[in-house]
Amino acid sequence: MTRERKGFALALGLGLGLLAAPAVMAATVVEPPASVKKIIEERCKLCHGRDGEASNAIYPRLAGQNRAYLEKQLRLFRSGVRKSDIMNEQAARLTDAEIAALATWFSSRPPLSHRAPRTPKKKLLIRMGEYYFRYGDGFADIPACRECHGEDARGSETLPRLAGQHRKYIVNQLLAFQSGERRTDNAIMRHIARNLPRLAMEGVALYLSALKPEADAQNSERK
Amino acid sequence: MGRYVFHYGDPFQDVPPCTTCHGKDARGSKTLPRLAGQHRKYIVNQLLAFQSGKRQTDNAMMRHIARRLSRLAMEGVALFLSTLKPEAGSGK
Ligand code: HEC
Ligand code: HEC
Ligand code: HEC
Repeated sequence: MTRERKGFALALGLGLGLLAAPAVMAATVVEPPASVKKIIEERCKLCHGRDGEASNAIYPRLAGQNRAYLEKQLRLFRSGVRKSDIMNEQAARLTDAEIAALATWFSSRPPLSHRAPRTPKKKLLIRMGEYYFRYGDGFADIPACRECHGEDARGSETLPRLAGQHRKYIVNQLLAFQSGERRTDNAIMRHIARNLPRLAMEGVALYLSALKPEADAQNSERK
Repeated sequence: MGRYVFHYGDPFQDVPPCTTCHGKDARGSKTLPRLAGQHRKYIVNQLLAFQSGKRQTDNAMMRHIARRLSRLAMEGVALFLSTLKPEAGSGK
């Protein structure tokens, strides 16, 4: 499964590139079953976009997010372990099969990025963020993000992609890990977020939001 | 990292930019120390001394600042300052 998906993402990245129109994409993608398509069209699309492309401070981007991670989060929303008034209700009546199909759909959509800011101040902030991403902070016992989320921040099958996610959504999730509002079976993000200075959160989020997905394609080619 | 702190401080921690007192080129003034070209480790040690209160000064500002800087930020700003050329009218 992992290999297939990687190969598929690679094919997308190399063959069609970032600028390919969604219509072109659609032809190469296995559409979800009709019942799930209906859920996407009538519900998910409103906030996340049909291809998971929507991105703002509140609604995270789902396009290219990793399949097992999406599936896990939907289950956590359904059981109420991960709290969100909106998503708890959205996931409440989804079956396991629907969750699996939704996760497969959004993970198959091409990942996107945000434009990097150009002001001198923001550029320096990005460099600060890149430092935390690459090296963490040894003094504060913060491991480098890339150790888990990968060189290009694309995550793994079970770890979330961070590249191209919305800046503010990332900061908000880090704050939610910090306060304990977002609980996970993996205590590491709570530990990290408790030690990460607020300014570093802003920096790393800005860096991640502007990371280009093309780097993914190049990298998986190399490996 | 150091360059950011030097020019912009840390608004979340109430740390003012170092430039406001030490100047755009970190040259200091008649009464304020030059930081440009100072040794990296000396700077870190002074910041740690301000933080712990070992170095007392009539001006409480550096203690306030050093208490709010993370250790990594100290290392970053010290590294940046130590590499600043005296000639540089660097600005930003
Ligand atoms: C009314 C708006 C809305 C609708 C409709 C909606 N979502 Fe969400 N979704 C959100 C919000 C808001 C969040 C962020 C929750 C948080 O802050 O933790 C979210 C988060 C998520 C996440 C977590 C992403 C991550 O990176 O952890 C997934 C997965 C998700 N939604 C999938 C779906 C699916 C699948 C559907 C369709 C069944 C759907 N959503 C419908 C608003 C919506
Ligand atoms: C030891 C491994 C590890 C390290 C290091 C790590 N993370 Fe994570 N991160 C995780 C795991 C596991 C999750 C998923 C948690 C869950 O299932 O809810 C996660 C989730 C996240 C999320 C939520 C993503 C989303 O879509 O909602 C963000 C944001 C995040 N990490 C940022 C960071 C940043 C920034 C760093 C570096 C400062 C970092 N992580 C370092 C393991 C790690
Ligand atoms: C509000 C004014 C002000 C700001 C802002 C400020 N400083 Fe200072 N700094 C001072 C003063 C005054 C002294 C001299 C204290 C003394 O007389 O002992 C000083 C001394 C120092 C020293 C000791 C120098 C030496 O040669 O021993 C260091 C290092 C230093 N500052 C670093 C910084 C850094 C780094 C920043 C930015 C994060 C900063 N300062 C921001 C006012 C300031």
